[in-house]
Amino acid sequence: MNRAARLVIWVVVVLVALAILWFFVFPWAEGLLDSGGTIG
Amino acid sequence: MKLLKITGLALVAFGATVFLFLVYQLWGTDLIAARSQAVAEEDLSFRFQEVRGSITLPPVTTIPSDDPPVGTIPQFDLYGEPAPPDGDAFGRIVIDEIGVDDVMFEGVDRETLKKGPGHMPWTPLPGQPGNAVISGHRTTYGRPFYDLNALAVGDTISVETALGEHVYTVRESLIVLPTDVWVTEPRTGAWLTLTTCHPQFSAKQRLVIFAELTSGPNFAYVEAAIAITSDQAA
Repeated sequence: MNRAARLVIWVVVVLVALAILWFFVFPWAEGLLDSGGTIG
Repeated sequence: MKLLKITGLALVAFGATVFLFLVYQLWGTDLIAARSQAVAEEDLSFRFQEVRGSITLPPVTTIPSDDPPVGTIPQFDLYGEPAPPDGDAFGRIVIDEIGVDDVMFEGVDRETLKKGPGHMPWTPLPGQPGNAVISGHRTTYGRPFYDLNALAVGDTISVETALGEHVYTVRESLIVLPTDVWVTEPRTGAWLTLTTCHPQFSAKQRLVIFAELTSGPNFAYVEAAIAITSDQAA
């Protein structure tokens, strides 16, 4: 595998990881810290 | 050796991400809330102007709480106001004891609560008979209810809506689970229920403040309604 292909794979991996963090992990962690005090 | 290097880099990246996330949550979100509050001031003025031009406003004088109606019960008017659209600014909550002075919004969804305290839409608006429920963040997004635990029985909470100023007096505070929906159920009289996360920096439980209406445009009506209910029960 050449250098350019490896770079593309790494960029894709980082972008997928950031998307998972942004859409799933951060909202979940935010809710653990302070959910806004709602009931029910 | 290469695996060790990648693992090390991954751990450093993870640590940096957690650190940045906490910085954003504890301070960055305050900026978002401050900006929303600044914009909402103008929206609130517009709502007050619009609603006050379309409804019958109550007289300025109110009956003080230590002078309830006795004997025959006169007919008092109940003043109402139109429900605000979801996410819109509709009132202001002021609690001098803990330095709260925030614009309130309609709704308790995640996006609305990022702007400031939110009103549960399925409960009456503040100032109306029943149980008006307001929720707010404790440690993020401007932390409007950070010191709510410092409120004591007898402290006052002022809520301004298009109808005017409604003053509530704190009667009780308690800690419940997030699933204890009974705290939002209707109550006899006119109540304001504030809810926030507890303890600070955790959403494990809820701190709840129950406050009773003791002055405002609908106070006379509520007192009379309670007296009629008591007479009928006796």
